[in-house]
Amino acid sequence: LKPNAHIPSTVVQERIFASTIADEALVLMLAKEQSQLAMNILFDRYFAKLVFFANRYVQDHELSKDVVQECFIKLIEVSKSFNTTHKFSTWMYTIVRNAAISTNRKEQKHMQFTADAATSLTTQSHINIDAKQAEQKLYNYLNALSEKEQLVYELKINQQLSIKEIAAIADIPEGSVKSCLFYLMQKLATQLKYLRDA
Amino acid sequence: MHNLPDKIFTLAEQYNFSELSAAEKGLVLQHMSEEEYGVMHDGFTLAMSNVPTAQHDYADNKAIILDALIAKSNTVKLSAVKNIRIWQAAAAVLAVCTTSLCFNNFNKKILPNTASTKTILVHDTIVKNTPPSIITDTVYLTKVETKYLPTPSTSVNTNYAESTEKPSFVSDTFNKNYIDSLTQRIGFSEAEVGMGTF
Repeated sequence: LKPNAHIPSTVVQERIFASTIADEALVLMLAKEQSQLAMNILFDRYFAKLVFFANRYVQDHELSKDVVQECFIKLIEVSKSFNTTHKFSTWMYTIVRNAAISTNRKEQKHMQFTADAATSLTTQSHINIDAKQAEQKLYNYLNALSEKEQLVYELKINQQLSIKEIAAIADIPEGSVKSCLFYLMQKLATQLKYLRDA
Repeated sequence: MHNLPDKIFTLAEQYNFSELSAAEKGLVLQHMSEEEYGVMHDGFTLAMSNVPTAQHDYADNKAIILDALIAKSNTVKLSAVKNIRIWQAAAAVLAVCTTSLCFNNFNKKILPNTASTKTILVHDTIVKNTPPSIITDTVYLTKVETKYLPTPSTSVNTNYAESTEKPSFVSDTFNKNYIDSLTQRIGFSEAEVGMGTF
């Protein structure tokens, strides 16, 4: 991790830099130099994803934005204490999750999958079913899941994180994540079959 | 399901069983049946088709976070300036002490005869320390001897009551004074003493 090795000077260099540099190196730049470039790249990589993630707990898009914004400001303060042997994404998701849960407790809301947080079900797949009906069925199914299953679903499907990262954020063994994912997909497929037959 | 390789999840997210290579099929069949893989793939397909793609504008949040970063950066610079001033002050004090020590040593060792300026305190009270007196072990003693010479014997007439003659050495005045003092001391009158005049 050598953040000062290649500081870009042109726009093209900056784009290449942004696409190649590791998150952890960016956090180091942030800690040592209060680099705006590093903050810009981290913001572009994670802010939208984290807002969506927080929205699962907070159930309010504007409030979710505030929660994640506060977490990024907190990141400026605590970046010096970041352990570079850990993954930044895991660390950040954990911080946002804790902040969102704290806000959720204040707001007295339950974690829920809602239609307004996502776009409508696309018709790109080969599944020939009514999109709106499937969408509603899917949300009903997801909301009936346990909190752990919802978290694994959210992190795997919407946040596209690896199994290792999910295990770290959810604080469960990797084997449990795999098992949970396998059965989740089985149940989803069963719901799909049910919808098809209907 | 706890020991499923991560790669099987990655494959199930993207490909159905017929799209897998022979090696990949072999890997999948080591852990599950073709039907189970197909169900998992359908589940992933349904879930992935529901991933939100809505774009939100987070420019305001980015501006707030970057402002916080700039503020933090200015604070850090300010504290750095303060540190330099403290460091400079400490260095200056150290330099003065070292220089004075070196100068003193230079004066003493290299230029021993160089007159040095010293502050002398002058008092108007002069204390004279007298040397201790010489004590010798010879003692001179002066012996004074008094010799008493024998007084010449005088013949006293003891029959003075019968005698009508007055002794030559007794005067009338002396006799009177003697009787007076005697009467005063013993409390008798002159008549009681019975002596009368000589």
